[in-house]
Amino acid sequence: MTIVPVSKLLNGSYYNTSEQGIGWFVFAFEGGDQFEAKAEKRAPFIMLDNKFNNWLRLVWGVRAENYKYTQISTQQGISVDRASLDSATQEELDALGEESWIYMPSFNLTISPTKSTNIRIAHSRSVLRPQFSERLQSVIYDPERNADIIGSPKGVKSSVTKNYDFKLEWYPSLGETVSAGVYYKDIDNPIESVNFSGLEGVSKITIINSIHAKYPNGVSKFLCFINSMNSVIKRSLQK
Amino acid sequence: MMNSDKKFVNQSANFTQDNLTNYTSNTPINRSFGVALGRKYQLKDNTKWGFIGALRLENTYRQTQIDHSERGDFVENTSFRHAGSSDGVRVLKYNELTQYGFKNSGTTYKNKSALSGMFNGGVQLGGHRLTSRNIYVQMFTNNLTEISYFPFQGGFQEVIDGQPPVLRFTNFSEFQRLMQNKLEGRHRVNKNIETNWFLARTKLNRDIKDASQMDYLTKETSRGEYYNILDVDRRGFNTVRQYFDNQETDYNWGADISWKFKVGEFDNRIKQGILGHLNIIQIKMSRLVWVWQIRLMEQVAI
Repeated sequence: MTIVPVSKLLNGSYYNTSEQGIGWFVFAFEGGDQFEAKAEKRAPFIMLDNKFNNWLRLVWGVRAENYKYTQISTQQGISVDRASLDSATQEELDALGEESWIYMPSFNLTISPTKSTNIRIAHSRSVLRPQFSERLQSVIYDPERNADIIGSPKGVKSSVTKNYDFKLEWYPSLGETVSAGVYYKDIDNPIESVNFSGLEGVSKITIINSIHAKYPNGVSKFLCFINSMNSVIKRSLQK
Repeated sequence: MMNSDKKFVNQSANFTQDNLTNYTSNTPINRSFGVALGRKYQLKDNTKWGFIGALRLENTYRQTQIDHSERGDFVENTSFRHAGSSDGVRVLKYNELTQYGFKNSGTTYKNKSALSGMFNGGVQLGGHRLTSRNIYVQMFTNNLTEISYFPFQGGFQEVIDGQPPVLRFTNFSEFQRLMQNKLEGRHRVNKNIETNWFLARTKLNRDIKDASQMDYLTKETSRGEYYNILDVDRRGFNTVRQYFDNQETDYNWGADISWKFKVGEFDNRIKQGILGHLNIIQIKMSRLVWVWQIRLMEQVAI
């Protein structure tokens, strides 16, 4: 047996087609080696900004979004390689039941009890569209996760989120903010990453639509300079 | 899928650089250079124009140390047995956790080099303003991971019995070019009515020229020496190189009109408009697998 270093083995002089031949074999993709797709979006909106009086302001409106995803061509996997998953067909994509028009109302109510404080209550609906890479059926190996990363095998549809926001803001002086808030998200058809084990424990990570997700959280922000921090502390001590 | 002999040799002959051999070098420090310039000119009759331009070069290097990983088909280095189960010799009285000293470890070397430029210009003639924004980014990313691991197949018993590790090299290099142009306008019809519009085009080209993956098996000779060979058949196809050419074009447009009016003493505003977006993608790809028995390969592939 002769042992050849890899750099020599791959330099071109050893390629041959004998019974024990070596070389680079191209895996043909059925239906072409090309993925082509198109996403179109149109969104008319109307917005109103009403200042009712000195301390009450309401910004509200609605946005209607029309979305259409068209798969022009796609490659299909073959059975021998690890790239063996097939892309979703147009019929399968249509069967997902993506809504072509989504209406997204929103409002933001600001109450200002004093000149430097705000109470904000807001609600909005938003939509998250799947990316092309999430729809593409090809294998990319991620060495840090030791997994083959694959797009969704049967297609994914958009997630619709209802956002609820409550926020308290205080502006001690120009450019300084102290704020605290809570928000809550209610997501329909969230797009999530899942891992399924394939041959001999090999991880394959793909994405699917889960049915529902709820996401409550709280945030606070503290943006002050040290000088005014002192005055904040002094002021609060005086009270 | 029959590959003719001639075609097979020809396509293989395109690869004269192996791109899978690894060399060592020191990690350079991160560097970035930037320059920016802006100007504004005031002309008569409330007319002004200006521009801002910037250029930036950035080189970043990062290393990630993988101390131990049990993900996917990397074997775990602990074993757990329940109380009451038998290990062949005795029935365990307590739960038993055994930890072994071997590790699936390695390093990821990342480097990124980006050149970007920005040029914005605008002109204002009374109540009319026209702005153009332009961005160009050219980026090269290279990620190399080398990891020495024990495969899941044999379980840890084989590792304890002295099975040598497999070396896996994964190289991912990506060339990206992004060009974004935007034209926007604002026209104040009178004190209360204003209209805005924009047109934008983004062109993104991601070219993954040679994403390669290779496994080296460690074998032992009869004289007790170790050598590495390319793995071609242990787990299907572990020596792979891939090519992707990703062309993405985005068109964005929008227009709105807003009207201010007073109810009593208080300000109100109504705004209506439309936004549009068209996104087109085209990805060309190919996947090459290192083979050493072509006849066998063609049989399998059919």
